[in-house]
Amino acid sequence: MKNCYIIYLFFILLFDCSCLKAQIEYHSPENIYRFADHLNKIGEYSRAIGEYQRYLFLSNSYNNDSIYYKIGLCYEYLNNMEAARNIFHKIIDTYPNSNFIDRSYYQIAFTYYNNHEYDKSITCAEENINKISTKYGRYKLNLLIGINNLYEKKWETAYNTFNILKSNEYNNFNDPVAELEKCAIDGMNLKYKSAIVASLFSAFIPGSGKIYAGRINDGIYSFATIGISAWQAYDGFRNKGTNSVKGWIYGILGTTFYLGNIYGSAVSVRMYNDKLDKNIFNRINIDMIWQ
Amino acid sequence: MKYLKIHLFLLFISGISFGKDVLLATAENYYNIGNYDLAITEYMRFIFFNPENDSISDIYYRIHLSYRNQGKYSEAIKALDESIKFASNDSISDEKIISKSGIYIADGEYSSAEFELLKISNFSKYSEVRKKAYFFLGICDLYTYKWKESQLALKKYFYDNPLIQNQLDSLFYTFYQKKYRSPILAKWLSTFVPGTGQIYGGDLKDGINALLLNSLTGYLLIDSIIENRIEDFIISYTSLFGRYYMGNRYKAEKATVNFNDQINKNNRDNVLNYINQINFSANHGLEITR
Repeated sequence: MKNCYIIYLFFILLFDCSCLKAQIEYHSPENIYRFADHLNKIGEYSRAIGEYQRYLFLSNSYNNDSIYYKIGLCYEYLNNMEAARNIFHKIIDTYPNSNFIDRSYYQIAFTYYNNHEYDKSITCAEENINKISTKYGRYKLNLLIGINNLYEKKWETAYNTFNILKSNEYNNFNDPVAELEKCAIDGMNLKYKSAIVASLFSAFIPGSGKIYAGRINDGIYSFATIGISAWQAYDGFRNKGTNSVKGWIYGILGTTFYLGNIYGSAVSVRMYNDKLDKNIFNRINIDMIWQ
Repeated sequence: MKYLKIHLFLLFISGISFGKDVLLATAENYYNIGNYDLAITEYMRFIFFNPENDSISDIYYRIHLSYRNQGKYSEAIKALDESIKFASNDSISDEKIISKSGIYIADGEYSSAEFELLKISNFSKYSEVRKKAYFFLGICDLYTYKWKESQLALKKYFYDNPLIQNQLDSLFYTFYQKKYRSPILAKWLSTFVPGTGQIYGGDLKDGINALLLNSLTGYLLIDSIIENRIEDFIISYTSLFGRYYMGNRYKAEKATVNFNDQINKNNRDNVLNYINQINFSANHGLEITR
């Protein structure tokens, strides 16, 4: 009887162990890594970063540069550019022989570009371009410098960059550089208008500054409003002197409109110039360049 | 006896390993202590490694609750949609659609909520589910100020409780007795005496402001008429008087609309307070927000 019971217990234990074995090792480094990649793929970047970091903590591997690179990209997708830069700097400092060095240099400059800090992006890219080992890496960074120059409205510098890159072996059949070069040429030919000239125009003839800035209807309306207000104020004061309620009402209104129109003319010119720039910026499609 | 104890102990151990997955237990723990973000990650991990598991629908439901507790309604709805997709039967699916409507209500998307709830209340095969849908439909109609529809839906929900039904009836009856102010009348009042429409609409400050401004611009207009200066009259009217006068009429109408809206909000809050008092919100997992 006793022996039978021992055999029975043995089978129960065996069954139990097989059940425990069936449990997935969710927190093994390999599974954490798989899950992190899945989160990254479905756009759960914040959670993906947590999982990659957990993997780094648990794994004994020393070649974790690719993981850090993925973390850096996740931070970029989350728009946390400073954290992304820190990660890319860490790759450069910790893994001097890594395959991700060139990409990290590029990504550091790219984080500044993403933050619309184009001048910093140019400085960073120019400082690091000689540290890049591959021709393709240098080509990409040069393109980024050129694009940053476009956004900085340094049209000639951008043109020179693209002119050199045009004949680069990596400039693929889509020839993205040609379009960028065209943007630079169009930029050089832009004819900006002066805010000071517009303000002076409006100071002498109300509304003319707005017409100069291309807003004809707005200019005519301003001229009419200020003209009528001034005339009414003059008429009021002429008839009843300084006691004229009408004179004071229209006088105050007219002066406000007049000053507002001078300021508005300067703003209109700024908007006009911004529109010219935007027409060029809208043609820059950075996704198309990296295809 | 000794063998029996060992036997029971081993069965207990086996029971644990057969029971809830350790990962789910961790996720539940995070959820219970209010760390919803970590709970979501663990639930997602479970789904990733057990895509064929029978409880996927329930886990997505827990994800939806976690997101909802964080106030992330669009993510909560996405998770709930997944939960509905994996639901094992119509009853559970219908229940989850009702939960989805709850999120829509909390997020202010009343028409989406109403659409889902009407579907469930009319076509669900399960009377209990239909009943619950009526409750949420009543709440949804409260937010869109459809008093009669709300009253009807809530009464359908409380069909087995005549006392509550009567109390609801008397509550809604007071709403029907309340007198709204007429935006058209307000507009006409301000047409004759600028500012009076705003005062009628409960906005005294704006009324006085309109009265002063229109008196000043009106003075210019009348002055030009007395002095028989047509050009002054035209200019005064087009540049100043007309503008303020028309604005005054528009604002009188708006002030009255706002006044009526405030009455509606008070009515809605009265019903919500009553429902909160009888604790139905807690029983149905709906946080009635204002």
